[in-house]
Amino acid sequence: MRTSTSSALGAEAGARLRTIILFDVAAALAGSVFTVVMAFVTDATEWLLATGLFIALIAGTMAAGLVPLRRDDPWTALLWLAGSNWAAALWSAAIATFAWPIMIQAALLPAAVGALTVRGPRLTVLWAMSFAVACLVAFLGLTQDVTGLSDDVPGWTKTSVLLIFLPVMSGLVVLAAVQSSVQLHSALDRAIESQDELRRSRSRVVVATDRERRRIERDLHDGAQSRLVAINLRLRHARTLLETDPVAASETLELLREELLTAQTELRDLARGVYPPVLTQHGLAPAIQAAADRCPVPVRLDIGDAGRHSDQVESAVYFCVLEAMQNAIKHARCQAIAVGLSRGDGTLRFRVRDDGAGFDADIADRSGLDNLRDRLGAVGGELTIRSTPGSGTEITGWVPVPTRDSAGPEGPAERVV
Amino acid sequence: MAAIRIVLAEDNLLVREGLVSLISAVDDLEVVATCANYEELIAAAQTERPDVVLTDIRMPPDHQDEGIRAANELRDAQPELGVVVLSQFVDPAYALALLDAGTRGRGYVLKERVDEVDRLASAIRTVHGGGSFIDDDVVEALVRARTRMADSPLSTLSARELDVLREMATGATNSVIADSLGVSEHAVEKHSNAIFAKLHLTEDLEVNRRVKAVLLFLAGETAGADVAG
Repeated sequence: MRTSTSSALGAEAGARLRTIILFDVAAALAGSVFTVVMAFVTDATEWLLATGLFIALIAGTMAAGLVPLRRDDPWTALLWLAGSNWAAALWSAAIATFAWPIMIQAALLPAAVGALTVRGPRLTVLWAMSFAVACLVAFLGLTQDVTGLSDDVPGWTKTSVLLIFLPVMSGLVVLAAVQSSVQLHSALDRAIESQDELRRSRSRVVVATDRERRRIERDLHDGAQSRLVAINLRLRHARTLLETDPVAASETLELLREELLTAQTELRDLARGVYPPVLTQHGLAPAIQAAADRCPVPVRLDIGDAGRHSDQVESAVYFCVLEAMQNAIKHARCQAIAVGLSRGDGTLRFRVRDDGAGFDADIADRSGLDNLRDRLGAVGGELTIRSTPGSGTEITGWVPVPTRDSAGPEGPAERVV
Repeated sequence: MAAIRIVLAEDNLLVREGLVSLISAVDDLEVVATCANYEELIAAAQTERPDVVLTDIRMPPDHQDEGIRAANELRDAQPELGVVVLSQFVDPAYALALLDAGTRGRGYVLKERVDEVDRLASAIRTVHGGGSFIDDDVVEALVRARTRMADSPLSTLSARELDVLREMATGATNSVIADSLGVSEHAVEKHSNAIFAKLHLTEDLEVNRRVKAVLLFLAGETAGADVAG
């Protein structure tokens, strides 16, 4: 889940912000209760009571930020948190000045939390405001409170307020900093991991391409090329026969014609294997239909309106479906294959299911499956394989495609190349 | 004169049968055994003791260059045995690999020209006599590539000298070159001297060594220095 605002760090950042808001609310509530209790224990009732109630109100406005946060709007949540902290800091510094070391922490907290959640101009605003409020708190602390409350409150009360709440607020600021660091490092790890995966998949693509070229060369060499050599030899033989035994020569020529047709078929099959022309001209649905028609195992097709897509998308999906079908025939010894292709909102999905032997997905030879993954990954898609020994295999995948609305009418005009 | 006894190795059935009928039609050639892979070839060479092995370059088990491997292995076991390798590769690397362990009694013929029975027969006779035979299409490809290079030393050769060089690279002896170009053997020797001087090659009158020196030169490697006989 990605946030729709300036946060680019996703759900984890939201969860971390929530933790900090909850801690801050808890600290404010505790402070409020403590202040109210102190108001009755000491003689300085009025202003302490007012402060306690004000901080209780502040706890409420902080908690209000949880609502926009649930709507995936961390910036508004952050504004509630920052506004509450700054208001509490300024109020307390003006009225209960003895608490101002705590209030400097409260003033700075939004800056530390902001680094966790937002970036750019919004973060700059938070930093500037936190800095300004912290300076103001310090200034108010120097001028002493207007109420004279600090003089009325007994020394042990001031000391215990500082002893209890200074570590709490400092802890919150440190927590926000630690959260930022953890988040940054995990994002960095993910980036490095995905970069490594990209490098691995690139080298796998190169290996797969070379293997494919070798296979084509082998097929050509052992197939059509050898057949042409044989035809050449027999042709010479037929020419000799023409003078001595015209009937035998005619038979040989007929055989040669059959050989030539076989060579032609081999070449056509090979060319189609390299890249099926029907895919280029008519798209995925007819190409998969044609592959199913050639398949030695019965194929049940469930192909919706797939539409036309970019060459990369079409060939990625086609070769994944084809390879999945070939795997089913080759390895699974299945009786039937079901192939599905459908277009949803912004995605093109396919599914190839067989009723064959299945395999243990953990110990299977991964190279073929990696090849499929890389093909789909290169166009932004994903592949999922579900298989257990004895109960068949299901390979599903999807690729992102333009939505129908943005793509316009079906047909070549839609192709994005 | 007894017929030249041949063991034929080729994995494609149709090509194998075609070659057998082609070779059997030649009076002085006789196919004594056919094989479809490397192991069969080595075994047949030991049991049949043929004069010449005619082998496909690429066969089971690995479909790599089994023909050349067999040629090299048989050189140690039966030094007098001639080997003609049939190949679809015009790349000189394969021909050079065949000559790597020595040029005596080795031939390299392209499959696309295999129906020219006289050519094939003359390759077989040449290696049987201890000579070398390199398909002139391979030589031609080398000469073309070498001529295209900037500052090619080949550009210093006259047209006639280039003809002689081509013939030398196929493994032809001076008398064969003289016949084919319609000049005297003495003239061929003169051209040959000029060629070796212009190309800065150590002149070697032994035909088998000369083939390799010329081929190596054409392939762009340092020739002459480490040419084994």
